[in-house]
Amino acid sequence: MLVLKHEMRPSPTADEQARQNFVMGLRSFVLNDLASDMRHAYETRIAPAFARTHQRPPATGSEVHRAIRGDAMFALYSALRVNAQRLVWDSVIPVVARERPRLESIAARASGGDGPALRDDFALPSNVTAVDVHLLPGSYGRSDGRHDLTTGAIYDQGLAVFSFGLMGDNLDDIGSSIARFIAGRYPDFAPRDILDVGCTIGHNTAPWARHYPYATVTAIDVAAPGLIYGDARAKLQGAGNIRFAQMDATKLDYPDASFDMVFSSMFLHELSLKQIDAVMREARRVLRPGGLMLHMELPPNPQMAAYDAFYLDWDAYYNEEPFSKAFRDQEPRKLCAKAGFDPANYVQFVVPSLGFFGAQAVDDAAAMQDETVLDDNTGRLADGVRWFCFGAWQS
Amino acid sequence: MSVAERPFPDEIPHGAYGDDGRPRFFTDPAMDRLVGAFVDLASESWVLAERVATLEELMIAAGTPRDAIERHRPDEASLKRRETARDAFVQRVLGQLRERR
Repeated sequence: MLVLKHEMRPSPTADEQARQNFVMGLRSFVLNDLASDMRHAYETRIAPAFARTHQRPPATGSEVHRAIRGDAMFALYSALRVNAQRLVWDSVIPVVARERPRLESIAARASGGDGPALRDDFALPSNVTAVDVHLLPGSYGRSDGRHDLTTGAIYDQGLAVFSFGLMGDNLDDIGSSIARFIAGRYPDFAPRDILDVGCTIGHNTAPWARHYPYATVTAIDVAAPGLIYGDARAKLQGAGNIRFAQMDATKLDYPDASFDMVFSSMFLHELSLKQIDAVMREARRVLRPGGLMLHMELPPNPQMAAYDAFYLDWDAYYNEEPFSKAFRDQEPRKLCAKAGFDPANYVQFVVPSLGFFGAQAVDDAAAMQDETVLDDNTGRLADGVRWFCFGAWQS
Repeated sequence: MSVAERPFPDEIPHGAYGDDGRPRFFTDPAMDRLVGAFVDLASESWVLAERVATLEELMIAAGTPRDAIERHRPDEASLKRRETARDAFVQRVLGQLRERR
Protein backbone atom coordinates (compact mmCIF):
# COMPACT_ATOMS: atom_id res chain seq x y z
CA MET A 1 0.00 0.00 0.00
CA LEU A 2 1.42 3.34 -1.09
CA VAL A 3 -0.03 6.54 0.39
CA LEU A 4 0.51 9.69 -1.68
CA LYS A 5 2.67 12.23 0.13
CA HIS A 6 0.46 15.29 -0.21
CA GLU A 7 -2.94 16.64 0.78
CA MET A 8 -4.63 15.49 -2.45
CA ARG A 9 -4.09 11.87 -1.43
CA PRO A 10 -7.31 9.91 -1.92
CA SER A 11 -9.62 8.54 0.77
CA PRO A 12 -10.65 5.23 -0.76
CA THR A 13 -13.36 3.11 0.83
CA ALA A 14 -12.23 -0.16 2.39
CA ASP A 15 -13.24 -2.09 -0.73
CA GLU A 16 -11.51 0.40 -3.06
CA GLN A 17 -8.34 0.16 -1.01
CA ALA A 18 -8.52 -3.63 -1.11
CA ARG A 19 -8.92 -3.53 -4.92
CA GLN A 20 -5.81 -1.36 -5.21
CA ASN A 21 -3.93 -3.68 -2.87
CA PHE A 22 -4.87 -6.62 -5.06
CA VAL A 23 -3.69 -4.93 -8.28
CA MET A 24 -0.31 -4.13 -6.72
CA GLY A 25 0.11 -7.74 -5.66
CA LEU A 26 -1.03 -8.96 -9.07
CA ARG A 27 1.38 -6.68 -10.94
CA SER A 28 4.29 -7.70 -8.76
CA PHE A 29 3.43 -11.36 -9.42
CA VAL A 30 3.16 -10.80 -13.19
CA LEU A 31 6.25 -8.60 -13.59
CA ASN A 32 8.52 -10.61 -11.29
CA ASP A 33 7.30 -14.23 -11.16
CA LEU A 34 5.50 -14.71 -14.47
CA ALA A 35 8.13 -12.63 -16.30
CA SER A 36 10.77 -14.96 -14.93
CA ASP A 37 8.74 -18.01 -16.03
CA MET A 38 8.32 -16.54 -19.52
CA ARG A 39 12.06 -15.97 -19.82
CA HIS A 40 12.64 -19.55 -18.71
CA ALA A 41 10.14 -20.77 -21.32
CA TYR A 42 11.99 -18.75 -23.94
CA GLU A 43 15.39 -20.11 -23.04
CA THR A 44 14.35 -23.73 -22.66
CA ARG A 45 11.65 -24.16 -25.35
CA ILE A 46 11.23 -21.26 -27.70
CA ALA A 47 14.79 -20.24 -28.55
CA PRO A 48 15.93 -23.88 -29.03
CA ALA A 49 12.94 -24.59 -31.33
CA PHE A 50 13.73 -21.44 -33.33
CA ALA A 51 17.39 -22.46 -33.58
CA ARG A 52 16.48 -25.93 -34.89
CA THR A 53 14.51 -24.34 -37.75
CA HIS A 54 16.80 -21.40 -38.52
CA GLN A 55 20.22 -22.70 -37.45
CA ARG A 56 20.65 -19.55 -35.33
CA PRO A 57 19.00 -17.94 -32.30
CA PRO A 58 16.43 -15.12 -32.76
CA ALA A 59 18.34 -11.97 -33.67
CA THR A 60 15.81 -9.22 -32.92
CA GLY A 61 12.97 -8.44 -30.54
CA SER A 62 10.49 -8.88 -33.40
CA GLU A 63 11.82 -12.38 -34.12
CA VAL A 64 11.45 -13.28 -30.45
CA HIS A 65 7.93 -11.80 -30.46
CA ARG A 66 6.83 -13.90 -33.45
CA ALA A 67 8.44 -17.04 -32.05
CA ILE A 68 7.00 -16.67 -28.54
CA ARG A 69 3.46 -15.73 -29.46
CA GLY A 70 2.17 -19.29 -29.70
CA ASP A 71 3.53 -20.23 -26.29
CA ALA A 72 1.15 -20.65 -23.35
CA MET A 73 3.46 -18.80 -20.98
CA PHE A 74 3.53 -15.74 -23.25
CA ALA A 75 -0.26 -15.83 -23.55
CA LEU A 76 -0.81 -16.09 -19.80
CA TYR A 77 1.78 -13.45 -18.90
CA SER A 78 0.34 -11.07 -21.50
CA ALA A 79 -3.33 -11.64 -20.75
CA LEU A 80 -2.73 -11.14 -17.03
CA ARG A 81 -0.69 -7.99 -17.67
CA VAL A 82 -3.37 -6.46 -19.88
CA ASN A 83 -6.02 -7.22 -17.28
CA ALA A 84 -3.85 -5.94 -14.43
CA GLN A 85 -3.46 -2.67 -16.37
CA ARG A 86 -7.24 -2.48 -16.78
CA LEU A 87 -7.64 -2.96 -13.03
CA VAL A 88 -5.06 -0.23 -12.29
CA TRP A 89 -7.46 2.31 -13.80
CA ASP A 90 -10.63 0.57 -12.58
CA SER A 91 -9.30 0.76 -9.03
CA VAL A 92 -8.65 4.52 -9.05
CA ILE A 93 -11.14 6.13 -11.48
CA PRO A 94 -14.19 5.76 -9.17
CA VAL A 95 -12.20 7.19 -6.26
CA VAL A 96 -11.20 10.28 -8.25
CA ALA A 97 -14.72 10.71 -9.64
CA ARG A 98 -16.18 10.73 -6.13
CA GLU A 99 -13.53 12.98 -4.65
CA ARG A 100 -13.21 15.44 -7.51
CA PRO A 101 -14.85 18.41 -5.71
CA ARG A 102 -12.53 17.98 -2.73
CA LEU A 103 -9.42 17.64 -4.93
CA GLU A 104 -10.35 20.70 -7.00
CA SER A 105 -10.94 22.74 -3.88
CA ILE A 106 -7.54 21.77 -2.43
CA ALA A 107 -5.87 22.47 -5.78
CA ALA A 108 -7.50 25.89 -6.10
CA ARG A 109 -6.36 26.84 -2.60
CA ALA A 110 -2.82 25.48 -3.16
CA SER A 111 -2.39 27.27 -6.47
CA GLY A 112 -3.82 30.45 -4.96
CA GLY A 113 -4.79 32.03 -8.27
CA ASP A 114 -1.26 31.46 -9.55
CA GLY A 115 -1.86 28.17 -11.35
CA PRO A 116 -0.33 26.82 -14.55
CA ALA A 117 -0.25 28.92 -17.72
CA LEU A 118 -3.05 27.33 -19.79
CA ARG A 119 -4.36 28.23 -23.21
CA ASP A 120 -7.98 28.08 -24.28
CA ASP A 121 -7.05 27.54 -27.93
CA PHE A 122 -4.58 24.74 -27.34
CA ALA A 123 -4.98 21.80 -29.75
CA LEU A 124 -3.82 18.44 -28.39
CA PRO A 125 -1.48 16.51 -30.70
CA SER A 126 -2.80 13.28 -32.22
CA ASN A 127 -0.34 11.07 -30.33
CA VAL A 128 -2.38 11.98 -27.24
CA THR A 129 -5.89 12.01 -28.75
CA ALA A 130 -5.76 8.97 -31.08
CA VAL A 131 -4.57 6.46 -28.48
CA ASP A 132 -5.78 5.34 -25.06
CA VAL A 133 -2.18 5.65 -23.80
CA HIS A 134 -1.39 2.96 -21.21
CA LEU A 135 -4.97 1.71 -21.82
CA LEU A 136 -6.32 4.69 -19.83
CA PRO A 137 -9.86 5.16 -21.16
CA GLY A 138 -9.93 8.53 -22.97
CA SER A 139 -6.17 9.06 -22.49
CA TYR A 140 -4.53 11.94 -20.64
CA GLY A 141 -5.79 15.01 -22.46
CA ARG A 142 -9.47 14.58 -21.64
CA SER A 143 -10.86 17.65 -19.90
CA ASP A 144 -14.32 19.11 -19.35
CA GLY A 145 -13.22 22.58 -18.38
CA ARG A 146 -10.58 24.88 -16.96
CA HIS A 147 -10.61 23.33 -13.49
CA ASP A 148 -10.67 19.69 -14.55
CA LEU A 149 -7.72 17.93 -12.91
CA THR A 150 -9.20 14.43 -12.95
CA THR A 151 -6.75 12.76 -15.34
CA GLY A 152 -3.90 14.28 -13.33
CA ALA A 153 -5.30 12.75 -10.15
CA ILE A 154 -5.98 9.47 -11.94
CA TYR A 155 -2.38 9.44 -13.17
CA ASP A 156 -0.93 10.10 -9.70
CA GLN A 157 -3.08 7.48 -7.98
CA GLY A 158 -2.80 5.06 -10.90
CA LEU A 159 0.99 5.35 -10.99
CA ALA A 160 1.14 4.56 -7.27
CA VAL A 161 -0.80 1.33 -7.90
CA PHE A 162 1.03 0.60 -11.19
CA SER A 163 4.53 0.94 -9.75
CA PHE A 164 3.82 -0.92 -6.44
CA GLY A 165 6.61 1.05 -4.77
CA LEU A 166 9.25 0.73 -7.50
CA MET A 167 8.96 4.42 -8.44
CA GLY A 168 9.46 5.54 -4.85
CA ASP A 169 6.96 6.53 -2.18
CA ASN A 170 6.58 9.95 -3.84
CA LEU A 171 6.66 8.47 -7.39
CA ASP A 172 9.81 10.46 -8.10
CA ASP A 173 12.46 7.75 -8.07
CA ILE A 174 13.39 8.43 -11.70
CA GLY A 175 13.95 12.16 -11.14
CA SER A 176 15.53 11.69 -7.71
CA SER A 177 17.96 8.99 -8.86
CA ILE A 178 19.03 10.86 -12.00
CA ALA A 179 19.26 14.33 -10.41
CA ARG A 180 21.46 12.89 -7.66
CA PHE A 181 23.57 11.05 -10.24
CA ILE A 182 24.07 14.17 -12.41
CA ALA A 183 24.92 16.33 -9.40
CA GLY A 184 27.48 13.70 -8.35
CA ARG A 185 28.97 13.11 -11.80
CA TYR A 186 29.15 16.81 -12.73
CA PRO A 187 29.72 18.77 -9.50
CA ASP A 188 30.57 21.94 -11.46
CA PHE A 189 27.32 21.86 -13.46
CA ALA A 190 25.12 24.60 -11.96
CA PRO A 191 22.02 25.11 -14.11
CA ARG A 192 20.11 28.35 -13.50
CA ASP A 193 17.17 27.56 -15.77
CA ILE A 194 15.82 24.01 -16.08
CA LEU A 195 13.06 22.88 -18.45
CA ASP A 196 11.18 19.58 -18.02
CA VAL A 197 9.28 18.66 -21.19
CA GLY A 198 6.30 16.27 -21.18
CA CYS A 199 6.15 16.53 -17.39
CA THR A 200 2.59 15.11 -16.87
CA ILE A 201 2.07 15.94 -13.14
CA GLY A 202 5.66 17.07 -12.52
CA HIS A 203 6.44 14.13 -10.24
CA ASN A 204 9.95 13.83 -11.70
CA THR A 205 10.42 17.60 -12.04
CA ALA A 206 10.54 18.36 -8.33
CA PRO A 207 13.83 16.47 -7.65
CA TRP A 208 15.66 18.92 -9.97
CA ALA A 209 14.20 21.83 -8.03
CA ARG A 210 15.48 20.20 -4.83
CA HIS A 211 18.99 19.50 -6.16
CA TYR A 212 19.36 22.96 -7.70
CA PRO A 213 17.32 25.14 -5.30
CA TYR A 214 18.59 28.42 -6.82
CA ALA A 215 17.37 27.37 -10.29
CA THR A 216 14.16 28.40 -11.98
CA VAL A 217 12.42 25.20 -13.04
CA THR A 218 9.78 25.15 -15.76
CA ALA A 219 7.62 22.11 -16.51
CA ILE A 220 5.56 21.85 -19.68
CA ASP A 221 3.03 19.40 -21.04
CA VAL A 222 0.21 19.41 -23.58
CA ALA A 223 -2.40 18.01 -21.18
CA ALA A 224 -4.06 20.65 -18.97
CA PRO A 225 -5.52 18.33 -16.27
CA GLY A 226 -2.06 17.04 -15.37
CA LEU A 227 -0.69 20.60 -15.20
CA ILE A 228 -3.50 21.84 -12.94
CA TYR A 229 -3.02 18.88 -10.66
CA GLY A 230 0.80 18.97 -10.88
CA ASP A 231 1.01 22.68 -10.07
CA ALA A 232 -1.02 22.15 -6.90
CA ARG A 233 0.89 18.96 -6.05
CA ALA A 234 4.23 20.77 -6.31
CA LYS A 235 3.03 23.68 -4.18
CA LEU A 236 1.58 21.33 -1.55
CA GLN A 237 5.00 19.67 -1.36
CA GLY A 238 6.86 22.96 -0.97
CA ALA A 239 8.33 22.97 -4.50
CA GLY A 240 7.11 26.48 -5.23
CA ASN A 241 9.94 27.28 -7.66
CA ILE A 242 8.41 25.19 -10.47
CA ARG A 243 6.37 26.96 -13.12
CA PHE A 244 3.90 24.84 -15.07
CA ALA A 245 2.82 25.76 -18.59
CA GLN A 246 0.75 24.17 -21.36
CA MET A 247 3.09 23.88 -24.29
CA ASP A 248 4.11 21.40 -26.98
CA ALA A 249 7.75 20.32 -26.68
CA THR A 250 7.98 20.17 -30.49
CA LYS A 251 7.39 23.95 -30.71
CA LEU A 252 8.58 25.80 -27.63
CA ASP A 253 7.64 29.42 -27.00
CA TYR A 254 11.05 30.23 -25.48
CA PRO A 255 13.79 32.25 -27.16
CA ASP A 256 17.07 30.67 -28.25
CA ALA A 257 19.61 29.92 -25.50
CA SER A 258 17.26 30.36 -22.55
CA PHE A 259 17.90 27.15 -20.52
CA ASP A 260 20.89 25.33 -19.02
CA MET A 261 19.12 22.02 -18.91
CA VAL A 262 16.32 20.35 -20.86
CA PHE A 263 15.08 17.16 -19.22
CA SER A 264 12.37 14.62 -19.92
CA SER A 265 11.38 11.33 -18.36
CA MET A 266 9.40 8.51 -19.97
CA PHE A 267 8.29 11.01 -22.61
CA LEU A 268 9.96 10.42 -26.00
CA HIS A 269 8.65 6.88 -26.41
CA GLU A 270 5.09 8.21 -26.60
CA LEU A 271 5.99 10.38 -29.63
CA SER A 272 6.34 9.68 -33.34
CA LEU A 273 9.89 9.82 -34.76
CA LYS A 274 9.01 13.09 -36.47
CA GLN A 275 7.93 14.58 -33.13
CA ILE A 276 11.06 13.25 -31.42
CA ASP A 277 13.28 14.96 -34.01
CA ALA A 278 11.40 18.21 -33.40
CA VAL A 279 11.75 17.89 -29.60
CA MET A 280 15.51 17.35 -29.95
CA ARG A 281 15.93 20.31 -32.31
CA GLU A 282 13.93 22.53 -29.98
CA ALA A 283 15.99 21.36 -26.99
CA ARG A 284 19.17 22.27 -28.83
CA ARG A 285 17.77 25.66 -29.82
CA VAL A 286 16.77 26.70 -26.31
CA LEU A 287 19.94 25.39 -24.62
CA ARG A 288 22.73 27.77 -23.72
CA PRO A 289 26.35 26.81 -24.49
CA GLY A 290 27.47 24.29 -21.86
CA GLY A 291 23.86 23.26 -21.25
CA LEU A 292 22.67 19.66 -21.00
CA MET A 293 19.83 17.88 -22.78
CA LEU A 294 18.94 14.71 -20.85
CA HIS A 295 16.15 12.22 -21.57
CA MET A 296 15.32 9.39 -19.19
CA GLU A 297 13.92 6.66 -21.38
CA LEU A 298 13.40 3.02 -22.10
CA PRO A 299 16.73 1.61 -23.26
CA PRO A 300 17.43 1.30 -27.00
CA ASN A 301 16.98 -2.00 -28.84
CA PRO A 302 20.33 -1.83 -30.71
CA GLN A 303 22.10 -2.01 -27.33
CA MET A 304 20.03 -4.88 -25.95
CA ALA A 305 19.83 -8.65 -26.28
CA ALA A 306 16.98 -9.82 -28.55
CA TYR A 307 14.88 -11.15 -25.67
CA ASP A 308 15.23 -7.95 -23.61
CA ALA A 309 14.26 -5.90 -26.67
CA PHE A 310 11.13 -8.03 -27.09
CA TYR A 311 10.32 -7.74 -23.39
CA LEU A 312 10.29 -3.93 -23.44
CA ASP A 313 8.60 -3.74 -26.86
CA TRP A 314 5.61 -5.58 -25.35
CA ASP A 315 4.07 -2.26 -24.27
CA ALA A 316 4.15 -0.90 -27.82
CA TYR A 317 1.88 -3.73 -28.94
CA TYR A 318 -0.30 -4.40 -25.92
CA ASN A 319 -0.32 -1.30 -23.69
CA GLU A 320 -1.27 1.21 -26.42
CA GLU A 321 2.11 2.85 -26.71
CA PRO A 322 2.34 2.40 -30.48
CA PHE A 323 5.31 4.68 -31.06
CA SER A 324 7.61 3.20 -28.46
CA LYS A 325 9.04 0.41 -30.62
CA ALA A 326 10.05 2.75 -33.45
CA PHE A 327 11.73 5.00 -30.88
CA ARG A 328 13.48 2.08 -29.15
CA ASP A 329 14.74 0.84 -32.52
CA GLN A 330 16.80 4.04 -32.86
CA GLU A 331 20.36 4.53 -31.68
CA PRO A 332 20.01 7.56 -29.31
CA ARG A 333 23.47 8.83 -30.27
CA LYS A 334 22.25 9.25 -33.85
CA LEU A 335 19.02 10.99 -32.75
CA CYS A 336 21.13 13.60 -30.91
CA ALA A 337 23.52 14.02 -33.86
CA LYS A 338 20.56 14.45 -36.23
CA ALA A 339 19.34 17.36 -34.08
CA GLY A 340 22.73 19.04 -34.47
CA PHE A 341 24.48 18.01 -31.26
CA ASP A 342 28.19 17.25 -31.62
CA PRO A 343 28.52 13.41 -31.43
CA ALA A 344 31.57 13.95 -29.17
CA ASN A 345 29.21 15.55 -26.64
CA TYR A 346 26.86 12.55 -26.45
CA VAL A 347 26.30 10.96 -23.02
CA GLN A 348 24.34 8.00 -21.74
CA PHE A 349 23.98 6.56 -18.25
CA VAL A 350 22.41 3.64 -16.44
CA VAL A 351 21.46 4.94 -12.99
CA PRO A 352 20.60 2.56 -10.14
CA SER A 353 17.20 3.23 -8.58
CA LEU A 354 17.73 5.36 -5.48
CA GLY A 355 14.79 3.73 -3.73
CA PHE A 356 15.84 0.16 -4.48
CA PHE A 357 19.64 0.33 -4.21
CA GLY A 358 20.13 3.34 -1.90
CA ALA A 359 22.05 6.62 -2.13
CA GLN A 360 25.49 5.00 -1.92
CA ALA A 361 24.87 2.94 -5.08
CA VAL A 362 23.86 6.09 -7.00
CA ASP A 363 26.92 7.97 -5.72
CA ASP A 364 29.18 5.03 -6.61
CA ALA A 365 27.73 4.91 -10.13
CA ALA A 366 28.26 8.67 -10.47
CA ALA A 367 31.90 8.29 -9.39
CA MET A 368 32.61 5.62 -12.03
CA GLN A 369 33.72 7.11 -15.32
CA ASP A 370 33.74 3.99 -17.49
CA GLU A 371 31.40 3.11 -20.34
CA THR A 372 27.82 2.41 -19.32
CA VAL A 373 26.67 -1.16 -19.80
CA LEU A 374 22.99 -2.04 -20.10
CA ASP A 375 21.75 -5.16 -18.34
CA ASP A 376 18.40 -6.95 -18.33
CA ASN A 377 17.19 -4.86 -15.37
CA THR A 378 17.72 -1.62 -17.27
CA GLY A 379 14.42 0.15 -17.80
CA ARG A 380 12.48 -2.88 -16.63
CA LEU A 381 9.95 -2.16 -13.87
CA ALA A 382 10.74 -4.99 -11.47
CA ASP A 383 12.94 -5.52 -8.43
CA GLY A 384 16.44 -4.13 -9.11
CA VAL A 385 15.41 -1.58 -11.75
CA ARG A 386 18.06 0.74 -13.23
CA TRP A 387 17.06 3.86 -15.17
CA PHE A 388 18.51 4.57 -18.62
CA CYS A 389 19.10 8.12 -19.77
CA PHE A 390 20.87 9.76 -22.68
CA GLY A 391 21.51 13.19 -24.08
CA ALA A 392 24.18 15.64 -25.14
CA TRP A 393 25.98 18.76 -24.01
CA GLN A 394 25.52 21.91 -26.00
CA SER A 395 28.79 23.18 -27.50
CA MET B 1 -10.77 5.95 -29.73
CA SER B 2 -11.74 4.28 -32.99
CA VAL B 3 -9.54 1.43 -34.13
CA ALA B 4 -9.39 2.84 -37.66
CA GLU B 5 -7.73 6.08 -36.49
CA ARG B 6 -5.46 4.47 -33.95
CA PRO B 7 -1.75 4.22 -34.76
CA PHE B 8 -0.16 0.79 -34.42
CA PRO B 9 3.51 -0.27 -34.21
CA ASP B 10 5.23 -1.97 -37.14
CA GLU B 11 5.92 -5.71 -37.41
CA ILE B 12 2.65 -6.85 -35.86
CA PRO B 13 2.56 -10.64 -35.55
CA HIS B 14 -0.35 -12.36 -37.27
CA GLY B 15 -3.45 -12.48 -35.08
CA ALA B 16 -2.12 -10.09 -32.42
CA TYR B 17 -5.43 -8.17 -32.27
CA GLY B 18 -9.10 -9.04 -32.56
CA ASP B 19 -11.49 -7.11 -34.82
CA ASP B 20 -12.15 -4.73 -31.91
CA GLY B 21 -8.46 -3.73 -31.85
CA ARG B 22 -7.90 -5.38 -28.47
CA PRO B 23 -4.96 -7.70 -27.93
CA ARG B 24 -5.49 -11.41 -28.47
CA PHE B 25 -3.14 -13.91 -26.89
CA PHE B 26 -4.91 -17.28 -27.14
CA THR B 27 -5.88 -19.35 -30.16
CA ASP B 28 -9.43 -19.43 -28.84
CA PRO B 29 -10.66 -15.87 -28.19
CA ALA B 30 -12.93 -17.18 -25.42
CA MET B 31 -9.76 -17.82 -23.42
CA ASP B 32 -8.81 -14.12 -23.52
CA ARG B 33 -12.17 -13.24 -22.02
CA LEU B 34 -11.95 -16.03 -19.47
CA VAL B 35 -8.62 -14.71 -18.18
CA GLY B 36 -10.26 -11.29 -17.71
CA ALA B 37 -13.12 -12.82 -15.74
CA PHE B 38 -10.68 -14.92 -13.72
CA VAL B 39 -8.63 -11.85 -12.78
CA ASP B 40 -11.77 -9.95 -11.77
CA LEU B 41 -12.88 -12.91 -9.69
CA ALA B 42 -9.53 -13.05 -7.94
CA SER B 43 -9.74 -9.29 -7.27
CA GLU B 44 -13.24 -9.52 -5.82
CA SER B 45 -12.20 -12.48 -3.67
CA TRP B 46 -9.37 -10.45 -2.22
CA VAL B 47 -11.67 -7.48 -1.54
CA LEU B 48 -13.95 -9.83 0.37
CA ALA B 49 -11.06 -11.40 2.25
CA GLU B 50 -9.95 -7.97 3.48
CA ARG B 51 -13.51 -7.06 4.44
CA VAL B 52 -14.02 -10.29 6.33
CA ALA B 53 -10.72 -9.79 8.16
CA THR B 54 -11.85 -6.30 9.18
CA LEU B 55 -15.28 -7.51 10.28
CA GLU B 56 -13.85 -10.31 12.38
CA GLU B 57 -11.37 -7.99 14.04
CA LEU B 58 -14.17 -5.50 14.85
CA MET B 59 -16.52 -8.23 15.97
CA ILE B 60 -14.08 -9.82 18.35
CA ALA B 61 -12.99 -6.42 19.64
CA ALA B 62 -16.69 -5.70 20.40
CA GLY B 63 -17.02 -8.92 22.37
CA THR B 64 -18.91 -11.13 19.86
CA PRO B 65 -17.89 -14.77 20.18
CA ARG B 66 -15.90 -16.25 17.26
CA ASP B 67 -18.63 -18.80 16.42
CA ALA B 68 -21.40 -16.17 16.06
CA ILE B 69 -21.05 -16.18 12.26
CA GLU B 70 -21.75 -19.90 12.01
CA ARG B 71 -24.83 -19.58 14.19
CA HIS B 72 -26.29 -16.55 12.33
CA ARG B 73 -29.41 -16.91 10.10
CA PRO B 74 -30.19 -13.89 7.83
CA ASP B 75 -33.74 -12.47 7.87
CA GLU B 76 -35.98 -11.90 4.82
CA ALA B 77 -34.80 -8.32 4.20
CA SER B 78 -31.20 -9.42 4.36
CA LEU B 79 -31.85 -12.27 1.92
CA LYS B 80 -33.41 -9.79 -0.54
CA ARG B 81 -30.44 -7.43 -0.27
CA ARG B 82 -28.06 -10.33 -0.80
CA GLU B 83 -29.88 -11.41 -3.95
CA THR B 84 -29.59 -7.95 -5.50
CA ALA B 85 -25.95 -7.71 -4.50
CA ARG B 86 -25.26 -11.17 -5.94
CA ASP B 87 -26.68 -10.18 -9.34
CA ALA B 88 -24.42 -7.10 -9.40
CA PHE B 89 -21.49 -9.29 -8.35
CA VAL B 90 -22.05 -11.72 -11.22
CA GLN B 91 -22.23 -8.83 -13.69
CA ARG B 92 -19.02 -7.32 -12.35
CA VAL B 93 -17.03 -10.53 -12.14
CA LEU B 94 -18.17 -12.22 -15.33
CA GLY B 95 -18.56 -9.05 -17.42
CA GLN B 96 -15.35 -9.87 -19.32
CA LEU B 97 -17.05 -12.86 -20.93
CA ARG B 98 -19.49 -10.64 -22.83
CA GLU B 99 -19.13 -9.68 -26.48
CA ARG B 100 -18.04 -6.05 -26.94
CA ARG B 101 -20.55 -4.21 -29.14
